[in-house]
Parts: sequence; structure tokens; C-alpha cells
Amino acid sequence: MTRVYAWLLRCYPRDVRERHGAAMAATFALELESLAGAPALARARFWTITVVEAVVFGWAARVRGGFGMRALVSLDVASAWRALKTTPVVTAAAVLSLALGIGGSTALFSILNGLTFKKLPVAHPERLVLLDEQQWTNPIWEALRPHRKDVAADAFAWASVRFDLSDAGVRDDVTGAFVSGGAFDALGLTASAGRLLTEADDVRGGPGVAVISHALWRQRFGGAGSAIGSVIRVNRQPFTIVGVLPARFFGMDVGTRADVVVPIAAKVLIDGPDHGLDERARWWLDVYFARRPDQSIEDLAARLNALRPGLREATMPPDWMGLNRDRYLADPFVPRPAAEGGSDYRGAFVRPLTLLLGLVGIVLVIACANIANLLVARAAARRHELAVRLALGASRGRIVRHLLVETLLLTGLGVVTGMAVAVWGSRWLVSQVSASIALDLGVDWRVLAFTALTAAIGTLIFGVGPSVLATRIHAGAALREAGRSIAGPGRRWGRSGLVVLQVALSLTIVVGAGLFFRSLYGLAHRPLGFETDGLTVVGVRFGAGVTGDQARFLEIEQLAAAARATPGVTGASASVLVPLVGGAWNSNVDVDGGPVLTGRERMAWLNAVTAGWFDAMGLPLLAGRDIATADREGMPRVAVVNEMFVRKFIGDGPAVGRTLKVDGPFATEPITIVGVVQDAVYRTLRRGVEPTVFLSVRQADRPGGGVQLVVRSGLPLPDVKTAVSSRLLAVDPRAAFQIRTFASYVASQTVTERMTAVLSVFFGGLALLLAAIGLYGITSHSVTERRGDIAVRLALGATPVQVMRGVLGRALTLVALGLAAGLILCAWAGRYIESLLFGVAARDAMTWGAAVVVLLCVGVTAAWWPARRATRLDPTDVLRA
Amino acid sequence: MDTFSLKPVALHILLALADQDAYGYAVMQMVRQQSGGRIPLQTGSFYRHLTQLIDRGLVIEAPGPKSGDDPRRGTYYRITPHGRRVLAAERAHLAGLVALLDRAKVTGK
Repeated sequence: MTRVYAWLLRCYPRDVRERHGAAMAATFALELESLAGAPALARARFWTITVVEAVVFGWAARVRGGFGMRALVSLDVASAWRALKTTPVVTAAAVLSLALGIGGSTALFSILNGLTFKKLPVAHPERLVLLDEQQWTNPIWEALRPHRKDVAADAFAWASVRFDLSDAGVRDDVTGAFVSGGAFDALGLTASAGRLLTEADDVRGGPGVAVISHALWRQRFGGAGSAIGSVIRVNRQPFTIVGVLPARFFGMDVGTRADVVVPIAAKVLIDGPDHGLDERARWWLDVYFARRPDQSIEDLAARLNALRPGLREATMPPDWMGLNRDRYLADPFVPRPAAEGGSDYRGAFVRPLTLLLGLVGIVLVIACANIANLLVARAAARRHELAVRLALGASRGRIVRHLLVETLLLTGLGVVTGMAVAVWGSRWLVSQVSASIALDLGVDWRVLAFTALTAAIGTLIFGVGPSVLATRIHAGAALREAGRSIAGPGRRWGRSGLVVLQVALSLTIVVGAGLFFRSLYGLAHRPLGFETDGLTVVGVRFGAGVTGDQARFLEIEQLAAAARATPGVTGASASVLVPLVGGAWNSNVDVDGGPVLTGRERMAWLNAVTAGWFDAMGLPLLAGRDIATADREGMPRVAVVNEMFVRKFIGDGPAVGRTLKVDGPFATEPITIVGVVQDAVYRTLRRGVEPTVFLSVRQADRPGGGVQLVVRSGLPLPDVKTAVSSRLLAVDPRAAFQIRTFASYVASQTVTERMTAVLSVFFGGLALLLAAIGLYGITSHSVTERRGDIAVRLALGATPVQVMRGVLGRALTLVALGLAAGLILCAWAGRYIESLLFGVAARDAMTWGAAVVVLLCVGVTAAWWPARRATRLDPTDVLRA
Repeated sequence: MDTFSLKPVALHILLALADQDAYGYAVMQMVRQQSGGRIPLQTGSFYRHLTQLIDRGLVIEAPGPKSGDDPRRGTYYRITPHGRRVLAAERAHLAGLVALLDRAKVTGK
């Protein structure tokens, strides 16, 4: 924090800094200390005053060459501030609109910045290079490792995973990583406590050592030095903590924070015989290179590809043949710059964030248009005063400068408030999406530049108006008018234009909000195919002693039986995958005698289940029978398929009794279809139903290290948790589980859509409000200005209805023009948001129609009151004045 | 002697330094206390007023803190003899004002 103040001090000229800089910094540090624990409001006030003081008086000192109170006198800031205070409502509305616009856009930009632009907090991020957008096998890494210093300055491997830190029972999951021993050396990092991993730690058979993140150190160990040397359980294996990572380092994947990092060799300890470190077809490692300071990427690529033939040959997976083999040998190594690290979140969030940024930008423009209108009206109202000043000898330049200073002051206040909105808003927004995203949202030069740019644009839009007006005041003419009219006729076209613009932009946002809301609704209410209520998913990892296929198959059946026997549970079963929970399994499938399919058409999705799974999931069986306990290894292979599979792979005719073959370890054995089940979603809500083949767990493949249980019960989650876990622990005391409701998995499928919908509805409402204010303002002024006209008409016998119609007609003409322009804008912008929508087209007539109706209603409401005021004019009063 | 009237903040700063030398933050705290919280000072505005007083020779930077003091406190400041004279003049001026107020029927009959 004191670093921020040291930076703020640079607003002051050098001589002030040299004389008082150190003392001011020291005093500020003490002030900060005394402020610890104060409420957020007090702190916000403190910081606002500090920043304003530094910026304003620092600038004044530079301009006037003095550091005292008098520096401000000739700068009109004090009088500008007084002038703004005379119309507090207008000023407050302007500052608030600016704050929301600038703050909102800065908030979104800082999230985008943290996600996409910020460089990794390591020694030389610009030299980091990621090997192809693909993950690699450990044999390839081990073949590369000895040559790494010939190819580049250094290289390392990294894999983000989840680790379970619990001792027993329910899992305690954190994000972590497997890393090659020399990684932290290559990154140029030093431990904030203890030491970091070295090459010597990355040896198979060595003791388990780990480093933890700074955040984990503070959360779970209170930052105590005793954490070093203590033992934690990583997937139930003991690991000694040897050090703590530097505070700002979160790992190589933006958005996640690696809390526990262990050497790759430790996978032997953690996964036992399933470690797969020698498997030539298991792709799981990210390989990074650090270029030499003077080395180009092309040079790195050339050296790497020179190594490629020997490397590929040596690491060829033994059972690959033909096309696969050729491709493996020929695929080049393509290094790509990776100064910002990799990220799974980027793909999901960059588009919606950019879109929201555009939305906020639009709202900002609308707000600035309003402010422009307000300020022009105010300046016009002061024409008399300004004309008097001119007549008394004030220079025109000075008056313009005076108005400019007012504008700048307004912008300055808007920016400062906006920054506070941005800091708070970005944190809140990220927390709404997920509690576990870790992003560096700190303000850096990019964010400040962005804020300055939006502020400058805003100032230009609404500062130009009053200043131009000021230059066109003629002292004589203005004095003669003597305050008769409030706004000249020329002004009206500009203001009308602004209102039309506001309506057009508001329509676009409201249409967008409607589309996003409908997408969210469609997605959230998408029929899944099975019953969500009362369904709980238990992810089980077998305890360490359970090895060997037989033991694991047995355990799967015992776990399912134990879950079923739990009081309160109406159904339970086991499976390899649960839809929407994560994980996917596919392969090429051929049905004997079915339609001939080629290439990707042959792909179907697979799952392996035990008896009673469909029942527990609430998936009705439409034909044939369920998988049974008798369907085990050695018995004829069977499968149940879903409707979509039947439509695609079989066509007409009964499916039960047909045979199919699945590419893979048992490709040659025919599998008989024994049942057909209703369609249900598989991977994600968006992708929906896929053709699925359900095998029996015992006939599918070797059992992995765990299984998923689906449990249906009427009990609330905490009760299910306690009841089921105790039963499961009785079967396998060393198992680790994670228990969540199925509904929570479904909810996390719609996170981005929910964020987009909520924010666009919020900004849509804001845009409507601002447009309504703008329309009200211009209609009101128009009525006041034409009151002579209206009074004459009333005197000549026009009815109130006719007068109202006249006024409303003019207002609605503006709205209609705005709607027309807005519809064109929507048509053009629609294609950019197609990919974000679900179940509704960007050109959806119903949504557009509804938006038009909303805006018409808002327009009528906004123009209503001035119209009514027009009917209440007393002709004699008006005409006499 | 300069014939300018002291602004309230300047008066309070001089008062705070009248008894003893003090460092920046301590002076700020004393001013806040003495004015009953009515003069909220923060670092920037405090140093602005202080610089004015230094420029006019009413305050100087004192040589150095006593050994053993917290070095984070920053520079110490001291009132000059000229400063004391100005303070005395201000006191006389204010006393005269108070006397006038007493004579005029401020509190009514």
C-alpha cells in the first residue's frame, strides 16, 4: 500500500519530493497503520482524499511552481467546485453516471486483463514458451529433459491436478500440480519460506516432498514457520512440506491457484501402480521452455525439431499402427509464446466478458449523452450571467477555460468514484462466478490506461457541448434576450440527436438482455432425461490397499450395495461416469447390419454401469432389460443403448438382440444389445443428448482407481452425507469420497450464462432509465420553450387532449427514429452474440418485438408529465409574461 | 513583522510545536485533538500548510530524532523564534477580538 503512495508522490514536482518526500511517506505509513481495522467507508474516504489531494495539488504545484494554498487560485478549481455545488442534483447524477460507466467498464477490463493480458509473475515471462497447444507424455518429457539445455536456456513440465488433503472419509480437495524438479529454477523463483523443489527431489523412489502456496500457508498454518517440515497427506500419502511458494505465484494456469506442488516422480507414491509414468499414450503434461535471452522462437523450434525424429521413435506407443503411427512420427513440435500462461477459463470467459465490456461501454455513452444534455442546458441557462461577464471585460478564453475546468473536475470525481466501483465490482463479479477462481485483479498500467481512455472519451462527449456553446455567446444578443428563452433553437437538433442515439442504444441492450435471459431460461430448464430431485453423487476413490481387478470389482458392488442399504435411500448404483459431472468416454462403434457410417459418424459415447443405475437416475427403460449382476467377465458381453443411438446406428426395426463392436481393447468381441433406454444429456447441457452405449462395469475395461455412486433419497444433503459415508467407510475404511448433489453440478453448467444474463438485465435497466431521463429532459424543455405557442393554441380553443397528443407526438417521433436506428444496430450486432445464445436466434422476432414495446412504454411514460404540464398552462399568464 | 493573519490550520500547527519538537504524524494528531476533530488533516494537506510555514520562516526542520526513537517517524519539526513572535502577535490579536465581542452586546440585553 505504501508503494502506491510512493507512486502518488510523483504527482508533485521534484523539489517538493526531495524536500518532503521521505517525511510524507513516513507520515502516510503511520496514518495507514492507525487506519487498520477501520470500516470500509472510512478507508474509502481516506483514500479518495489522498488521491484527489495528490493529483490536484501536485498538478497545481507544477503549474504554479509553489506548494501552497495559493497555487489553486488562478486555476478556478475552487470556483468550479463551488459552481458544481450550486446544482447538487445534476452534479451528483453526472458523477454517478460516470462512476457507473467508467467503474463498470474498468471492472470488466481488469477481469479481462487478469485473465488474458497479465504476464506470469515469474523472472522472465516473455521468454516462456509452451510446446504446442497439446499435452505430452512423461516418456517424451524424460527423453527431452537431458537435451533441454542444448535447445534453450531451460525447460520444465507442469500438470495441474486436484489433490485430496483429507486424512479419512470425505475428500478435502485443493488444486495442485505435478512439476519437474528443475521447474522453479527455470522460472527463476525463490521460496518465501523454506526451499523450493529441485532436481534431486524428482527421483522415483525418493521420499515425498511438497511445496505449498503462500495462500494455503496462511490459511491452514497461519503463516507459521513450523509448517516447514510438517507432514500433510496428499491423496492419503504422507508428504513433507519443504517450502512455501512466493506470494504472487499461482502456477502456470491463470484462474487456478496451485496450492500443493509435488515432483512428477511422486506420482508413484500418490497413484501407486496406476501412476502411468511410463505410459506412452497418456497425454497429461504441459512442457514449457525458457528461451535464452538472445534466442528467437524460430531458433528454438529448429533445434527442437532436429531432435524430433530420434525422440518420437524412442517413445512410440507399442500398439499404435498405420495412420496413428505415421502421424505420431510426423507431427512437428510447435513452440508458442506463453508469457501469460495457459488457461482453461480463457476459452469460456473471454467472449462473454468482451461482450459485457461492450454493453457497459454503450451504457457509458448513453450516460455521457445525458450529462452532455444536462450541462448544455445548464450552460444555456447561464448565458445571461456569462454574457454579463463578457460585457464586463472577462476574456472569452477564460470563460471557456472555466467551463473546461468544471468538466474536468466532474470527470475527475467520476474517475475516482469509478475506480472504487471497479475494484469492488471486479472482485464481486469473480466471486459470483465461482468461489475458487484465483485471479490477479490488481490495477496495473493497462487498467489505468483503460480508465484514462474511457474518461477521456466521456469528457469529450459531454465536455464539448457547453464549451462550444460558450464560444458562441454574443454579449449584446444575450443581454437583449434577457433570459426569455432557456435554450436556443439550434441547440434542439443536437439534443434531439442525442436522445435518438440513446433510444437506439437502449433498444440494443434491452434486446440483448432479453436474448440472454431466454438463453439462460432455456438452458436451465432443459429436460435432462432423468430426475434431478433427491439425487446425490458420491465420487469414491478406493483406499490404498484395494489393488487388482477382482478386489476392485468386488468393492464396487459392495459400495453400491452399502449405499442401497442405507436407511432413507430409495435407490443407488455405481457407474464409471455420471452425466454433467465431468469426464467423457467415447470410441468408434459399428453395429452389425446397421447403416454404413464413416469417420466421425462412427463415434458413440460410452459409460459403464452396474445393475439398477437407470432406475436410480430415473431414466426409464423403454425396451428389453437392465444391466444385471450376472453380466460379468466371462459371460457374453451386453450393452444397453439410448434412443439416439438406435436412430443413428440402427434405424428402423428392433434394437434389442442386435450386436455391435466397440473399438478398443476388446474390439473383436461382439456385444449384444439387451435394452433401450430413454435419451438423456451426456457431457454438457449445451451439447445435450449424444448416442450412448452403456456397458456393464465388470465387462467394460479394467477398473480404475475409483467409481461414482448415484444415490437417490428423500433426505436433505447433510443427512445423506453422514448416513452414506459411514456405510461406505465400513466397506473400505481408507476410501476417500466427495459428496455433492446432482443439482449443484447442473447449476455449475450455467454459470457463464447466468452472469451474462444478470449483468445485461442490470445494464439494460440502467440504459432504459438513462434514456427515459434524457427523453423527459428534452420534452420538458421543449414544452417550456414553446409555451407561448401552446398558450395561443389553448386560448384559441384547442382541447387538452389535442395539446397532449401534440407533445407526445413529438416525443414519440424521436423514440420511433431511435427504434428504427436501434433495430438496424441489432441486426448488425446480432451475429456477434450467436455463439453465446442457446435455444433462441439473435434475430428472434418475439424478443425484438417485446423490446420495442418496452421502449415505447418507457418513452410514453417519460414524456407524459411534461405533456400534462403543457395542458395545464394558463394562456393569460404565459402570454402576459 | 509580516502582517498576514494566520489561517486556523497554521495556528494549530504552531501551537502543537510550541511546547516541543514533534514529527509529522504527531503534529497531525495533536491538531486533530486540539481542534476537537473539526480540522481533519491528512498527509497531503498537512504538508502543504507546513511548507508554507517553513517558507515563511516560522518552522524549521529539527536536526534529528533522539537516538533510540523509531526511525519510521520521519523528520522532526521545530518552531522558530520568529514563529513564536507570530504566535504571540496572533494571541494578542485574538484577545483584542474577544474583548470587542465582550463589549458589544453579543449575548443580548
